[in-house]
Amino acid sequence: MGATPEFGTVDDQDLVLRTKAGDRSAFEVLVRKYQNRAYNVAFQILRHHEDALDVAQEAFARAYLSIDRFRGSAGFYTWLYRILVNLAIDHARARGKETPISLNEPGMAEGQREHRPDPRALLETKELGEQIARAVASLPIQQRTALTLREIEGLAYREIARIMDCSTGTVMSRLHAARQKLQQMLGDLVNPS
Amino acid sequence: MKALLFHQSDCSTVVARLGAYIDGELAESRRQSLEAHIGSCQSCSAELDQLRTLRDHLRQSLTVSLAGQDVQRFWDNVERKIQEAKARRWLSLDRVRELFWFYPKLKWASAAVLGTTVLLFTADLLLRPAIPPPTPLGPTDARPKTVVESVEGGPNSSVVLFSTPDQQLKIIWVLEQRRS
Repeated sequence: MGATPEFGTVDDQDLVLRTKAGDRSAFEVLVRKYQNRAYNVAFQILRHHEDALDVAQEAFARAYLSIDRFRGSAGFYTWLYRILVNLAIDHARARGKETPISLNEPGMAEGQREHRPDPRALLETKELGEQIARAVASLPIQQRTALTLREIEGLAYREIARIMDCSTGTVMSRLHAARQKLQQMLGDLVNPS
Repeated sequence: MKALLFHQSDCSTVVARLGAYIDGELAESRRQSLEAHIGSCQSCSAELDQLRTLRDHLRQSLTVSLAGQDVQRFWDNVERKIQEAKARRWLSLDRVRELFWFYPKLKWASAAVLGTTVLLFTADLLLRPAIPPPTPLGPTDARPKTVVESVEGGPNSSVVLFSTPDQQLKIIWVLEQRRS
């Protein structure tokens, strides 16, 4: 494995062109750039560390093998996420059941969550985080996916619609339904007063 | 009462759009009218605060990251999967499956073509006029119906005598030249 350039400074379009020309190291840069985000999206859909890791890696492999079909009308990550989300949803359906979230899972292990320096705040946030994670895990998969792409990835409705192969109106209604259910389930936890 | 009903209806419309509002997805005109409503409606204003709190909690609680070993092995595993997939690609079935996976609408197009072909084939079988079975060529058909027993000829006429093989029927055929 050779040294790779700092991926934050390299344009995705340029990396895609180099990958199409047969430069495997250019694709490695794309993988390293998006691997964490791809894993996070897969984990939010599947709620299982090993499955999420496997699906994220599979999505990159499929993206590489089909890179010639990527025409660049959307961003590389939108295209990648479309592959990823389809794979994750297929995987969840094949699994046939939703794995309940557990903070003891490798994907949620200590040190993998965001760093929070204050122990008291960490405890409070951890308890709140557990409840929120459970509530999100109980959402239908399409709502959970739309919520993840919006809240975690910060994608625009148009991009989410393209990834999930639906209209922006459907994205809006899925997000609205997801948020309403979360508000009902979390009650006072989301009350700012 | 009418004013109250209108107000409630207005609030439900506003609440349905609050998510799009905090996501920055509302058109300018709708955003302005929504902000005007929120400025004068405590209920919708409280709903907006709740949504913002929920969004902040979601962003803090749901972000997970890859651990050290998984980060290191990630690219190696992607490479391994690429090699495995390339090896499998020699099987044409996998290529077709992959094509269908990337272009789901192709499934319907293929199903339509296949369905039409089956339909046309079936219709052709059902609607084709029945062809009578060919007459078998038995040994009796090989036998001649009549036998020429004799031919006698004169200057202006000829007489041919036919008979059936079992001699039960005889035919006399007189051929006479026409005089002009």
